[in-house]
Amino acid sequence: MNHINTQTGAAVRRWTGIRAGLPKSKLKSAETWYGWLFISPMVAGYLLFLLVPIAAALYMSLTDASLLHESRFVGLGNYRQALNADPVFWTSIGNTLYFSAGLIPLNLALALGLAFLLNRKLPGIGLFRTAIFTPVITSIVIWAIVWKYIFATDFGLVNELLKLIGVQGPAWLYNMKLAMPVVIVVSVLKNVGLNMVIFLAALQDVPRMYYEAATIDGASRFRQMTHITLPMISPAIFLAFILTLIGSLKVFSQIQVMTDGGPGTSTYVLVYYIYQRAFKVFDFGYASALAFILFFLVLVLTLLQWKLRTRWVHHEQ
Amino acid sequence: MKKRKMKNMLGLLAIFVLVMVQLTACGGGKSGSDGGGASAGSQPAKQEQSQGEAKQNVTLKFSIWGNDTHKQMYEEMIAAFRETHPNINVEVMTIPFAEYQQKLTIMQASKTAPDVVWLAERMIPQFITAGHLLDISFLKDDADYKFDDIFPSTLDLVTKDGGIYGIPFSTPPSMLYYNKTLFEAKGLPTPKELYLQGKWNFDEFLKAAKALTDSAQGIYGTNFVRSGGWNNWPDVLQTVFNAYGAELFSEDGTAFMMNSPEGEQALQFFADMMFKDEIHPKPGDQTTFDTGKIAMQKELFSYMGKAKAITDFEWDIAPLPAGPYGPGTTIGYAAYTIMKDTKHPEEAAEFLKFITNPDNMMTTSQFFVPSRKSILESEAFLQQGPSAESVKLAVIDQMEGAKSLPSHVNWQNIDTTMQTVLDYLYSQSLSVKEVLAKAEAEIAPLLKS
Amino acid sequence: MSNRRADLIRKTAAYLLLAVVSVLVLFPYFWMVTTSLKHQTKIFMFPPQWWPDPIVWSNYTDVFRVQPHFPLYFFNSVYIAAVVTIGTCVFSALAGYAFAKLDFRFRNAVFLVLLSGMMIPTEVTAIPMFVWMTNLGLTDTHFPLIVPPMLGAGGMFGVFLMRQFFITVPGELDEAAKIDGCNPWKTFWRIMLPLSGPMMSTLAIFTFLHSWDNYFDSLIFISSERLFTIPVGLKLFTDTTGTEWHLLMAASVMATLPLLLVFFFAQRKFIEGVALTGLK
Repeated sequence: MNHINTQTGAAVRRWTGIRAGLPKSKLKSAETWYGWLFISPMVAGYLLFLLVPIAAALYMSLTDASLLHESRFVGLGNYRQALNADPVFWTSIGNTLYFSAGLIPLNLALALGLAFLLNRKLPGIGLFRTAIFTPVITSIVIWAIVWKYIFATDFGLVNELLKLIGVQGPAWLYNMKLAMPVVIVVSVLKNVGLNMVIFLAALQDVPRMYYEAATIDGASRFRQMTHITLPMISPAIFLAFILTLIGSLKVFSQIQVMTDGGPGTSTYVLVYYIYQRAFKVFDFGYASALAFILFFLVLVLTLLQWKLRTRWVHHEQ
Repeated sequence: MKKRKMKNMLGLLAIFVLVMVQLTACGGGKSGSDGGGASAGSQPAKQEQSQGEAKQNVTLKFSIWGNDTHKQMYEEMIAAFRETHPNINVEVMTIPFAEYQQKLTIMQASKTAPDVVWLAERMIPQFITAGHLLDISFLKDDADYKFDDIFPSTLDLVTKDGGIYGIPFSTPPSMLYYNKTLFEAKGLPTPKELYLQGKWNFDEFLKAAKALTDSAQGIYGTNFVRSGGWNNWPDVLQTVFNAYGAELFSEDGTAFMMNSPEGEQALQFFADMMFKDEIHPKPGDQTTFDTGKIAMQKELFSYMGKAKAITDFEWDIAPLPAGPYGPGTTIGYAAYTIMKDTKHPEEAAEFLKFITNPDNMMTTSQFFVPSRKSILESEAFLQQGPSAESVKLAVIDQMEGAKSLPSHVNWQNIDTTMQTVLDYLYSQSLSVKEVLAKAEAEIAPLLKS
Repeated sequence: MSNRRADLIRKTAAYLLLAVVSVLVLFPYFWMVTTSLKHQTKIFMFPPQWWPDPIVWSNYTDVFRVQPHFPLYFFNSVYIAAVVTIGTCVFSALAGYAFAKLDFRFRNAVFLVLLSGMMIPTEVTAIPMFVWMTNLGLTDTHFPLIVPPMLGAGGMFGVFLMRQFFITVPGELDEAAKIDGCNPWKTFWRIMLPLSGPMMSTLAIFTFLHSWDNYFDSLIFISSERLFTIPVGLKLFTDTTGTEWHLLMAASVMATLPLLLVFFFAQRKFIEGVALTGLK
């Protein structure tokens, strides 16, 4: 950058000279050309891999397209069937919401709590941060497989530990009431590290002087937390909330690995149902309709988030 | 210096990316095989074989759901095949049984299916009806092949409108593998002995299972779940259904018949084994016979490879115990078929002919009960098990009365639904009666479509 | 005094809580490793065997006997993630720079449209993509695992991040470069790209992890064992090996270890990178 500064004087004179000779449009068009060139891969990608497929999915959702027979146009028939005549669809929506409702508070509260705990200059504190972040970089499939083994009915570690204290452990993943909670806990442990790190960064970003001033004013620790900390990190909390929410609506891998939607349909979530209808029973048309309903849910939530951001997030820099 | 290094690196990277994209886009990436790749227009016409013309190198894909012992056997066979057909290479691909039909359907639709394919009885109706299999009745024309040696009854499932669409290679009756060491340790009569005395029934079976179960050691008296897993409910439950005289579907496959007193008895028998007497592993458990923790395992002849590798204890085979309606023995079924969309029908047929000729069927008979009369009735086959006597009792003698497993053109849907319904039994959320009612409610409509 | 004491109690409590959560989170790894070294008959024992005895190193070689394609799963995961990461970074930086610094008609409108693409879940586009790839003969290749993630929703996220970054680069730098006679390409290549290091590494980390973890796409597009990635390969392993958990755990260890090692050596970068996005 040095070389630019020292030569600026001479260069400016040179440039003004050149500029005087060039029409404005030529400069503009060069930039335009480059602009479009640079964004062309992404624009192409958007068209080919997002716009076209979503339009195709919309069209497919209006037919009964299947791998096993010819497709016919059925209009809103798939949607009608899903909403009115498909109990499994409503079960999957219910389970998805159950999963989200279980995951989000647990995840956010734990992440926030851990971030507070980590926000101190204690020796070795960094180790804990690394430890809790480790599952974030592990493949979800591996994580789910190991936990499936830990929760196995006979000789899974959890039940063995319970046996040691004389308690007969239940069939965790074969119990309709317990399977989903187990999946939720496993999911929380996997991702809490990510939110924790985001919160920790936000916490550390709060200027010390606010706390110092408040202490001088005699505010208690608790008051400081509720009146300074939380409002100042509210953007991060909101971001974590939205990301976790949208992610939880799309949960699939750990369900497929740990329970395959079972037992019965107690862990059937929306994406799992879509996968099942599309790739096990091959009802592409119907599955596309289901996928579109998922898209609609995600869309609504994202737009809601944009609106609420201005209302709820306290401090935007 | 830094900038040039970065420029070079990025340049290299860009080339790398381009190359990678090219490689992957040109279909096949790492596999680079010829067989079963992307569709490209019409099938090649019959290959003219003029003298001196070099034969094209072809790679066939052959899919199985077997274990590593089966794969090894085939690979030895393929090596022998290459001696007479040096231009044909065969790749064995293993797909777990639980996903086999689903995977194959997708592969068929995306034109990436293997050329030669194992199919089980429950899968055949879907593929035959949809016209996805190659007619191989021309195999009859080869005198050396000895087509008539194949039991006609085994060809029923693969015959349609005069065409033959597969060659059965495995028709095993279900039977018990039992841990002789465990029986002798407790001084109990073995299933084989009881069978010879004519006393091998459900009562004796339960008695033995209860005596041999030792929860402190993690030993179960019996296990009906085999390598296909808990989701493979026909393998687990059909013999019990048969033993109680319960029918799954009606003759024509349009009605669900399981919601009956017999059905209830059968399902209750199984539920009690798990939850009341606790002589059977709980749902989800994957304990296998070769760990020595199962006293009596219901399995098929194909398990012989794994069984023979056991060194920790002595074992033998015996027929199933008899329930009110008999032992309910089911007969498994698998056939080799050729996918119609294969790009190498000639070579695929050559391979199929080779692995089902009399010599090779003798080889496969170490795991698979053969469909060829000459081999089934041979002395050599009797030697494929622990002893000639055992094989005769547990296999040969049982084939007569064995019933085939259910199949239906809409099997995928029925199978998935039944798995979900049975979960209510396995998780003890509903009683046997309620489970059967639920099964009827959900499956009956599927039978009509 | 009591203040000191209260402080000590607070500190101990903090350590304790953190320790509990850490144990909960790290225990699976311990269990994975110890099981991978146990003898098959010792996996299901009561009371559970905490330390393998005897230590069976051959489990690791047995993995390759039972799943000869295992090293391929690993290789595939790595190279696919690498290509996607590099591609996403490069193309996102290009587009991000253009949206931030170059002036052309409809620029902002196009950006908003691309941004909206971030909201489209891959599960929705999966089915039409599957049909389309089938017609092109590209199912059972790595193409659908590389290009769509690079230029699809993941790419849009990258564009968003990079544009955010480039906006913060002072305009004077651009002007100076222009004066020096640089066209936009040279400006980008020589000045902007090198500057974007921190943001790039954040994007790279996110993209890499996302591709590494991708299960759904591999599940529906790939049927040949040779082309499997780690998640699908391991799932196949669970279906075929039944009780052979010792082998499955050995395979899992081998699949997890490399990334774990990279993480431990570069943890600062990882965690700071992630935190950076949160703040933006």
